[in-house]
Amino acid sequence: MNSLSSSLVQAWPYAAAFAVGALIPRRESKFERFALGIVGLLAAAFISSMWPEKAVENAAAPPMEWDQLLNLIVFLPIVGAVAILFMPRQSPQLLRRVTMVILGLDFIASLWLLKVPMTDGWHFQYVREWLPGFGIRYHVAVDGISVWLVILSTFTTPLAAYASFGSLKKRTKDLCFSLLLLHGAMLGAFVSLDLFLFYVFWELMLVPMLILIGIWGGVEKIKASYKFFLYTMAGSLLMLAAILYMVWTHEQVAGYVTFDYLALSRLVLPQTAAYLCFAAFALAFLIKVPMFPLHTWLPDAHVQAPTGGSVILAAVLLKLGTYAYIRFCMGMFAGPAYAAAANLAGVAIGGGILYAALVAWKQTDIKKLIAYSSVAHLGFVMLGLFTGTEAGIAGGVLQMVNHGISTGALFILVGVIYDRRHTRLVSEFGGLAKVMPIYTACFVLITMSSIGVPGTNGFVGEFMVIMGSFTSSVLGSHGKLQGGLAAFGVILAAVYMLSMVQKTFFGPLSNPKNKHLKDLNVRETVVLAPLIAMVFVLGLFPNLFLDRMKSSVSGVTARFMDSTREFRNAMDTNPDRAVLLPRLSGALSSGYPEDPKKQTEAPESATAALDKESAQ
Amino acid sequence: MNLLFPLSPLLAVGFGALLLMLAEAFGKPQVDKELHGTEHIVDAGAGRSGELGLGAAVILFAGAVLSVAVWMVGPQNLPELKLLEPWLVMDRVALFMSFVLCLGGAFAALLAGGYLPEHNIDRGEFFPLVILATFGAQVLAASGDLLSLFIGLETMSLGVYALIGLRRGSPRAAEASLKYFLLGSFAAALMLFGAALLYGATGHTDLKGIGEAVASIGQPGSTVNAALVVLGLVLNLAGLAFKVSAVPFHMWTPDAYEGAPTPATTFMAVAVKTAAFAVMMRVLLTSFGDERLMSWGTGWPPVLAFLAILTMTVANLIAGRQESVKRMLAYSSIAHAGYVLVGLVATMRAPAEGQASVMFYLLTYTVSTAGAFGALILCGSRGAEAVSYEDLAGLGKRHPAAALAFTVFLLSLAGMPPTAGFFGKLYIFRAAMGSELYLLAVLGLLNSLLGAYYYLRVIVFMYFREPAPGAPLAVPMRSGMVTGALVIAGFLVLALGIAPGTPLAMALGAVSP
Amino acid sequence: MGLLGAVMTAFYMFRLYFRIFHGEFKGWKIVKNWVDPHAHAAHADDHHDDHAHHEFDPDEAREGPTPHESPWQMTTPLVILAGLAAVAGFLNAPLLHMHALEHWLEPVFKLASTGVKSIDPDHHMMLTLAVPGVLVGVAGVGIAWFFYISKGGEPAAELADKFPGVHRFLMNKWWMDEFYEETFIGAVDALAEFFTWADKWIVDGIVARLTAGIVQVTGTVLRYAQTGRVQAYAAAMVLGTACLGWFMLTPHASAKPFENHRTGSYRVEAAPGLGYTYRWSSKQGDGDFKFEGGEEFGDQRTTSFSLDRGAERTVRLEVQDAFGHHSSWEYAVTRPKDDRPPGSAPANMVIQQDDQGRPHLVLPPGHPAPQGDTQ
Repeated sequence: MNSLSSSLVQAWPYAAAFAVGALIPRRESKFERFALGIVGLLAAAFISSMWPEKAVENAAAPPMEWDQLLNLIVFLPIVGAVAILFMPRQSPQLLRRVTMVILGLDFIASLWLLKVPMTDGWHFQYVREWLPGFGIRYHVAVDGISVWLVILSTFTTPLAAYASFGSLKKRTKDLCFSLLLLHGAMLGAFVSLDLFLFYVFWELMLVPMLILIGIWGGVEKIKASYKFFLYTMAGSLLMLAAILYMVWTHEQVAGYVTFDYLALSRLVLPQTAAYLCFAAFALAFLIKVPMFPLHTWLPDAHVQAPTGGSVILAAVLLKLGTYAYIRFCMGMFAGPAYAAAANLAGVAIGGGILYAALVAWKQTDIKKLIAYSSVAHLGFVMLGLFTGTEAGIAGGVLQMVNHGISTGALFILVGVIYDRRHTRLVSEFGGLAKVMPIYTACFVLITMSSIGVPGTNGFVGEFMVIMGSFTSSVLGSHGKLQGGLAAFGVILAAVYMLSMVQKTFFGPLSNPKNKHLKDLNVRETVVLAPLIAMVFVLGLFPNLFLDRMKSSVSGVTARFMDSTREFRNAMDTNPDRAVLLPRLSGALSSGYPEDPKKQTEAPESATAALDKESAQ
Repeated sequence: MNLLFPLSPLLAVGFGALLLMLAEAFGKPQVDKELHGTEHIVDAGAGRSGELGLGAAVILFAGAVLSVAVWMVGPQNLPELKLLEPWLVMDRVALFMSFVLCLGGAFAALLAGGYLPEHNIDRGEFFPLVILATFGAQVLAASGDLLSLFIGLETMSLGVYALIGLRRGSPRAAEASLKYFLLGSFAAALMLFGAALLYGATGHTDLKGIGEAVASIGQPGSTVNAALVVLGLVLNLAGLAFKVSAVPFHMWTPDAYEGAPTPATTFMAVAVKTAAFAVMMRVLLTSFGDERLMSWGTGWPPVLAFLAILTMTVANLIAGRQESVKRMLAYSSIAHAGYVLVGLVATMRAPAEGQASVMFYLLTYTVSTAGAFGALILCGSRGAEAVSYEDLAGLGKRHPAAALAFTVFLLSLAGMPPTAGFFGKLYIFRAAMGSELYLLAVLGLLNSLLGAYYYLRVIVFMYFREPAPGAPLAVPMRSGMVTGALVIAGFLVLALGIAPGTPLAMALGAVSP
Repeated sequence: MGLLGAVMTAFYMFRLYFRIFHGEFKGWKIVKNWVDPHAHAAHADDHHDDHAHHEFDPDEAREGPTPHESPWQMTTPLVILAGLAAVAGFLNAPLLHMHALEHWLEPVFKLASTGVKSIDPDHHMMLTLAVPGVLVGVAGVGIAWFFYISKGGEPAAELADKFPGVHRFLMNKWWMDEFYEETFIGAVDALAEFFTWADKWIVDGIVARLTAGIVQVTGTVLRYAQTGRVQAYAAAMVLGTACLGWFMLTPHASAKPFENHRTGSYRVEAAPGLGYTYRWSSKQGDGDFKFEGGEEFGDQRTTSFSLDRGAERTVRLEVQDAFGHHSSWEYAVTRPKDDRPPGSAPANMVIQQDDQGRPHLVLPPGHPAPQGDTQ
């Protein structure tokens, strides 16, 4: 009885959330109310799962980490995508349901990641030999930074998929396949710690996204899909060259071949090579982010992509660039990254935050405007990373999540009017607040979050980034100026977002076509509600997120500074030789690839092994 | 004195060809008289592509399996093989190549089994020709002597000339065949002249002997004329560059590939190219592997590096401007020759890795290219052949399975993970890195970007475009054999992309005992 | 200044209060039991009309009902707000300290607080600050009462008459809006227009359109070389063979230097070539080349020498190939005067200190090694 009552007490927030979802909105049908209630419940479960559990903190032993969890999260969608291929094209309902179930399961599985306190080091690590002769391993793990991106992905993709199912009615099989494969590939890229594995997932994302843009895109879809594909591939091919060079150099220095991130991050390349390899990696990631002047694929891709595609593109795909910059550029090329940070920060501010904001202001297509605003927001993220301070990096990571939520929601909102009017031009609208009050409220709210009004999510991240750039030693004397300019960018964000909102929603309802637009339907509400909830959760309780990423962020920052120092030392003694620094001790080096020769007796050559096999 | 097993890859294919000819000769032509009229019965194999194709495929697959079997036992355990040296060197490299060649030939045979009846050129001689040409290619890949090399080359080439001109009524096919024949004879003459010069300079026709004589240059007492050796090398390089269709020796390729029936094109693209690379690798490393011919200053590596860049870039640039998918694939095969040349250059400083990467690349290239041509065959049917990009418009919607197969092979050719093509490229460029050819590796990788554009274009047409109203549409054919070939190739493409461990070990094991 | 500001704030707020709530009602003519003449029409076209029509026409004779108190939905929040406004100042004061307000965003600021110096409020100052604050507030209220209640607004009108310029200036809010409109907003607007244009035609034009255009044009041009004539094909092959022959039959002298500035020992190793013979010569400073080991071409592939600090030397390699053609290559080296770390040596004189690590050589393909450029 006692346990029952206590569980009842524990369940009250969920019950309350269900009741709020089910009772408050004015809805006719019971089904709709029920669906909204379920969404409320899920949102409550998600939010409550983010609160640190006292029991866990008190326990002496850390909770068990099931090492297959990441495999489950990554391969569930991929296997699902393959399974979709064998399902009948004629029953779209089945395909949609299977997709939603898989994405939902994936989301629930990813919540398990939050049950473990994210101390510095790798969690849920899983290592397995893949191609031992080639030094390639299957090595996945999360830390306090990537865990948020994984959850962002599992959180937004189901919403994007659900929104897509509302508006895209044809070729459902292709849609489900692409969504699932894209989802799996993105998750894989977030958790891989082997460069080969990372590259495989990184490239695997291209085709499904291409399909999303190309099949359901608008008039210029083919141009946009070429642009997306070729831009990204150009960067990643140079990155592949750099990876191969590093692996080869590591083999020369250490005597064994490995593609592992942990091993390669201890490698100090000769000076010229270090800068070139950094440039190759950074180019690949900055194209993906995208940063000026490599950003022009993004507006095209966003404008042409269907709503779901845009949401995934903005919310998750772009984050791969920023995430990979922290993980790989700052992790493996600290010295060059340090040296380039001040200039790159200038580009992020001038070309990203200010330039993109001004260009966004002049856009007539709402989606293109939001696309440019993405460039500006990601300029903030990159600025945070370039500062090399804890505040800046934590703000950058937080801003990645924020941008995923706000911009994802904005794209869903734009999709709502596009579905109704099949146009996104600002001039076609005006005074929508009168016919679509709930929609308008949501839009204004998300706009506030995108601008960074205090109390919403955008504020905290931008504030921390600006703070970080003021205190940054990496940016040197320019840090204050750059922080100031970035703060000015926030004002510009208000300018372009609010002028668009004002033209679209307020003023006279001049266009007669808009007089009978319907307000949000159930599907759209269900999709938007969790995002709006997250806007406030992030805005009001940022420490839920910051606490979990804290130790990882400070670890990343400390290692960045240490490695910079080591790089400089190595360059001072001899800039022409590659050096392998001693490996780190502690949690971070778990999963470090061992020299196979040391482990076993005399290595058998491939021939000898196969000879033995055939002789038996 | 038991040569039966060690030589079984060659013997199976050679005797198989004879058996198939017998089967063809004594069979009964089956022709639908109402459709064709009697004048189309030109040989006893008419109308029997199905069974003959299957037979040919079985023979060639048997050759492939036997190659692997002999590889596993290991030539060093088979002392009888020494008897054939220096004319035939059945080492592990040759066996690996023999495996790839038989695989390519088998794909061509399977595809022909579906293609020929569909397009009304249902003639039995195709299959013995394919097998004999494969046999020639195997001999070429295993030859250790300039004479056996020439015999293998001509056996292969004569078969291919006939295969190209199979569609006798078509002027394009005749033109293609004649062009290839004329230029091929020219190249063969160059090689023969080079061989004569080498013989004159060294007194040897066997490759090893030539290599030893070259190494003795500069030693006291050596009478070998270095100038003649260099001239011989130039002429041999030119002849080999023709066979692998490196720019500027490539100009026959698009015309010949386009005019030939698609299965013959497949055979040329995979088997002929593989054999040519195998022999090129052997000649260069065995006869001209001297340090003084493998340096940056003077030897063949800088020449091949230049050819590689030229080949990749020019072929990729032109391929992007083609309107015909088949011609695009022809240029793509030229571009891939450029990538293989990169691997060949890498043998300069990393001999084992360079050779292994070339061998592995040829394997991945064979399955991807055979698959791509097979998918092209599958996408068309009589009177509605898939030729141009426009023909493929909307195929992803009308025939998702065919389009999906095509997509997989194109992605593999473009080098996207997790397909075979990606791993092949990775290995090639890794070898180039290991050989300190950084610029070459970067240029090669950037070239794959140019390549990605035109492969992507096919995907764009298949999935993203709707056919223009009234435009001719490609209607996929129905053929169990073509489908079977595609299933095998598709399986191999994915398997080699995800778990390439064993074939990689085999390629590496062949060169580093 | 702060005190003056407080006086003025109190003044204008109470001006507002006195003018709205005291004195006569000036809004409209009060009519008992007044009925809104617009009400019916407004309801009829409510759905397809905008609210511009609902506003009063300023020229219309304005009549209306007696002003009444707002409904409870409006007054309740106002009462709460008023109550809070009255006491909120004390919430953070020492008497009624509420921790919740101070710690809301603490984690955010904690990370950032390294850059911000916080000023700790001095509690002793509390009373000394509070008393004048209240006094100036009262003063402001008093002035407002004098202007608008006791004198009925006359002093204000007089002031406006006396200083019409100042009055207009203040009435137009210091012309601030117009100033911004003309300078700042105009400039930003023009900049935004330019950026939008540049984004399409310059950034995208160079990164995407130009590269794509180059690739396409080159492809088209190259495509024309494919004429379909077998003679042209054969000619291309002949040309190719000729180029191969030209490269292979020309001697390519090149060598790789191995330098050690610290010990001053240097070694130059010539690239090998089939049938090559070598001849070395060197000069010091501006002198003439002197042959090492005779004028005859020989088999010697390397040469080594040592230098004093600051000394320079030029080494020349001549190569004769099997056809008797010659080619030469030169390499100049100066040993640095000071024993700087090798990192500061010029890029083209980089030391390969030991031969364990393989030299990193990037070469343009198809060309002999560039002179002395080891990476």
